[in-house]
Amino acid sequence: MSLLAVERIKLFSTRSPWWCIGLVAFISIGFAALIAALTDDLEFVTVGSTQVGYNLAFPVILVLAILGITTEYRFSTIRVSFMAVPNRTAVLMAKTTLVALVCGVLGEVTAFISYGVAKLIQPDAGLSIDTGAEWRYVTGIGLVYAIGAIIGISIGALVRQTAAAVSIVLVYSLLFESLIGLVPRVGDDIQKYLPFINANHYLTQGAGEAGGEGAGFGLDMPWGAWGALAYYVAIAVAFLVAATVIVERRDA
Amino acid sequence: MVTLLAVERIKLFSTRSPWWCIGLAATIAIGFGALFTALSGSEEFPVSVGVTQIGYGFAANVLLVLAVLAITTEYRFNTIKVTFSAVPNRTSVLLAKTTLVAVVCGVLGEITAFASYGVGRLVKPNADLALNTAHEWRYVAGIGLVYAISAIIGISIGALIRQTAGAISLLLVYTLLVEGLIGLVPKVGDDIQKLLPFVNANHFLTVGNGATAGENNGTGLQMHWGPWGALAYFVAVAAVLLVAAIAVVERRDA
Repeated sequence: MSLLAVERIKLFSTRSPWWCIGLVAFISIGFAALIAALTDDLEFVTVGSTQVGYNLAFPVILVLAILGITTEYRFSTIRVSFMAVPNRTAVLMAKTTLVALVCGVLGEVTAFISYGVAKLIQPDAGLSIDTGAEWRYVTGIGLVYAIGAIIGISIGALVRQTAAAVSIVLVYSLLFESLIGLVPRVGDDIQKYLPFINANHYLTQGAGEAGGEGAGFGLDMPWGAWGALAYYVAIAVAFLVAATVIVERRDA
Repeated sequence: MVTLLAVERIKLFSTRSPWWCIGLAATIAIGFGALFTALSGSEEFPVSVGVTQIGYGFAANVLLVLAVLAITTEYRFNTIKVTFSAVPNRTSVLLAKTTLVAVVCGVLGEITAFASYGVGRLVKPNADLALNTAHEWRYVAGIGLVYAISAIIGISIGALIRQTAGAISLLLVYTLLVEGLIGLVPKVGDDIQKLLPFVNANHFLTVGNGATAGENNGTGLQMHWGPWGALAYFVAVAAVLLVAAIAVVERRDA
């Protein structure tokens, strides 16, 4: 428990997480407001369309999580942490828990605010959360952020350099996962098994085109929404285990 | 100026990250070109010169990282203070650095573009991959130009922000996400998108090369200018950012 408090103090006493949190809130809520305000066609204002801004905010969450661990390496505070608590696994778990929790709460808060803002702007659009798919989209954002944070922390712990880890994760999530679908013949089959595609499928399945369903790829996904989430979680856990094993073995 | 260029060359190439970026950019550009060319040839995805170049956008992001790192690592390790103490004319330092990084990225772009093209020909020796239209020449030979100008943007943003993580995140999220997603905004989205720098750079390269080669990024935008107008606009944006960076670097404490 005191480890969590330690990690909380370390995280929030630097400025970068505050920047990231502010940016996430601004981007996701702003995008929802923009789409709601600028649409003439009320058909296009759906619960899903109030949430599509999550795509823009999600990379910032990943950056927040990566910085949570790589800045410790950069300023060598990781050595102090490991000297104080020789059980490195416990340190890493505390950090992962804290960052995932922060990102999860942030996701829930921004998702409901985005929805509320869009509803205020377009009161006549009939924005009510009444299907299972709509509930899943709005409440699922926090879950997707939290699991994304686990992946970010793990990659950060494996790579240790901020610039490299941020570049790898952003280029992978923003470019590679969509470009791979362009590869003729095998592209679609690979794409179905990529983690963030599955996270998006979990959120958007049943949300319609305005909600970003299928991320515009029209993929024939192997699982339903919850299967996709389970797969995404499994990948995050695999990364976290790999990161823990490596951090235990190598010099700090 | 020549000395300054030599200084910047030594600083750049004596660290490991530019070598990593160069290797990665070359592998990605050539590898993706080879992969796409090898798997193309169907009705809906015909082989073309453009397809051999399709990895350029991917590699361009790696070079943006290279350019950002070239300046932000100076701030991180405080070598910028030593540099400015040795050469108090900060504008010429920044210009030398920009020139060097832009030339490196430009040369790398030409080499990888022609290498991708060559590999494409080896992979599909029977396909019509002759460089016989102006569009095809522009795509292959233009990649170095786009890389060089992107490098100017990377250096400028790096100089303005000074923090590696901040500058890289901002640039990558912007190029990879904002420029694409802004088109989703109803009514004004398309009009904004037409004026974004990397959309124009892509237009310069891909116009006339067909949708499978990435023409219009698949967005079907009605662009304002032809290829050369789009390039001029891209250059203008880079120049504005560079001027802003120089003005800010001159004014603030190092």
